[in-house]
Amino acid sequence: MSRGPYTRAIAAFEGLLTPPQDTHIDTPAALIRAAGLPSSTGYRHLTTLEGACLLSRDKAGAYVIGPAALRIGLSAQGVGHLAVLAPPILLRLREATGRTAFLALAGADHLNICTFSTGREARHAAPARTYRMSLDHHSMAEDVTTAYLTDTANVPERLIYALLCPVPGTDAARIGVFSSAQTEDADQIRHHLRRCADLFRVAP
Amino acid sequence: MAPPAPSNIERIAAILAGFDHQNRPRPTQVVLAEAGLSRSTGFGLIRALTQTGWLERADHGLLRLGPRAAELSFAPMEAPTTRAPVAVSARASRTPETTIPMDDPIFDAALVRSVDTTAFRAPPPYVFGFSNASTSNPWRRALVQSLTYGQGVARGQISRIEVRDAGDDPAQQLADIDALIEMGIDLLLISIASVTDRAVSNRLAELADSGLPIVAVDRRPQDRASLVSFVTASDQRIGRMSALWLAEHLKGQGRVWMLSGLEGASPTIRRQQAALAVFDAFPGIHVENVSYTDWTAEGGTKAVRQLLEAEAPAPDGVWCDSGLQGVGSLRHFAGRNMPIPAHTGGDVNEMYKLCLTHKVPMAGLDYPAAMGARAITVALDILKGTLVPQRVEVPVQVVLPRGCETASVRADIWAELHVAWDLTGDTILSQGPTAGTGRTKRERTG
Repeated sequence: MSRGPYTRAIAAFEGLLTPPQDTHIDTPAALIRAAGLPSSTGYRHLTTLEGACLLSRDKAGAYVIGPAALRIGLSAQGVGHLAVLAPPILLRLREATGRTAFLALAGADHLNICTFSTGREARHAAPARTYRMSLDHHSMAEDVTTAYLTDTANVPERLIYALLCPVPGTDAARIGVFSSAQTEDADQIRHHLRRCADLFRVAP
Repeated sequence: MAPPAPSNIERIAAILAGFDHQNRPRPTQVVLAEAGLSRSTGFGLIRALTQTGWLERADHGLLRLGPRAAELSFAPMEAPTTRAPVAVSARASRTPETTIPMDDPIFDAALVRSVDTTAFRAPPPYVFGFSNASTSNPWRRALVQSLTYGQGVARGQISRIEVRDAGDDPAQQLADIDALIEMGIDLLLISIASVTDRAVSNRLAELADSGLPIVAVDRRPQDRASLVSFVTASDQRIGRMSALWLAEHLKGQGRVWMLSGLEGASPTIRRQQAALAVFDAFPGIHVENVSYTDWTAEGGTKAVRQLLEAEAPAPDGVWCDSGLQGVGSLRHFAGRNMPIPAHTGGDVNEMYKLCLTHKVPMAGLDYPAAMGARAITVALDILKGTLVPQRVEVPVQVVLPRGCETASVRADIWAELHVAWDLTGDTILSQGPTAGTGRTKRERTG
């Protein structure tokens, strides 16, 4: 069945903004290939998306989601203001701990992982869209809590350990750091998480 | 000639960007009007966006962002490192992570202050003015290239950028600013020639009072009240991490010469203060000398030559706040066939080439020239009336040769991968996709 021009445009839009996860795509041609688009239209669309800050390139030239796309994604969940506040905090948290630091938002009955900074070496974790954490009093606590997330794409479900801290000013948001269950620097991570949460508190 | 009709991709981007931070429902007619869509095109596109979950109907005639749009928030802020990722695990890690003291980051409120820019909202295309402090070294020229790259990416929104070079002269910068204002610019980008010059600072305050949005990049005036935003990188991180690496590499014992950049420039002061604070924590590290080099290779050579001619024995380490002067120091040691001590300082390609060729232990923290392109996106956000951070920090990577990691300082990228052997020595590797020929390393190497 042939698709109309609007459906095709939406498919191209989706393909370019959601390349395969945890890949290092640093050429336009590679991203266009990953999106399954013909070169001519692919380059044109890519230019448009970069111009609208929906896509951007890091210092190594790799494509990452742009600030405008993050703003749309978080606005769709009613917390678009976090698109300005969260990135610098998550970056500092990664610099401080070397670990993958993330923002999570409460859905109907679980937390969803949102944007994240990528940890280094053995501390690098690649979060999946399928990570879930059930909401209970534990995860909604007012201080840093330890938590297990489950990777629902794996059977049996894989457990992922994290430290989570509520974001002041919003009921839905948490900041977190992926860790390992018995890490001895957990106290330092908790300390950093609390300091980061304080930053959200002072933000306008 | 009439401008070409926007593509459907542009229309989709315009529609999705029109919703506010709380995703309050908007009338369909308003969504169409703001995106500049006719009823026939607009309704078809909105129907398709609704069917695919990008939009949802909140009530009769009202739209808001849908669940598919929410998925855009699941996104890495940084591309994965080039090393193989390790999946997270519930088991205790076997890496020696518990012995590594954490970096002591600065978590202060400046990181999250934001500015409401609705008062600056204006329709594109825009004319920007850039008053550059100078183009006296390769980094400053790379900054202009990055700015130009940002302009190219946003060419539909920016009609032109007027660039003026003050040659590090505050009086010339004052004249440059007035000339740019005469051209009717919509926004002023500025990199300050002298942080202490009152005349430029006062002029900026007057312009801000008159309603002109001003964005500083790289160097800002002492009084930041005139700025909407400041795009920079953490000089403290550069100073702290490079000094920590050098002290740990020397196992806490040794003589260090410090080669700073331009005396009085804010990055010089902040990097030097941060480095000295680290060296103070190591009683066995003796800082024998602090020299200023104007961030030039000649300055680096001159400083090292003078110290060696004073019959000082070669130091155990040379701390440079940038490779701009570091290459001068390296060249001088190499030219005298002396053992080359450990060095710090990144930025220029030649720094990495020399260190790797001569097997000199080194730590590079590139001050990202890519902040030029970032400044353009901040400027565009301001003129769109979007909330912007008061201070925008572009990340700084730690670059080390293999085998040079210390207990606290780990590489974000290996120098062997970072260096570009096919590009000239004065190439600034941190300027993003525009480095060298405007292509990424993979594109260059096929």
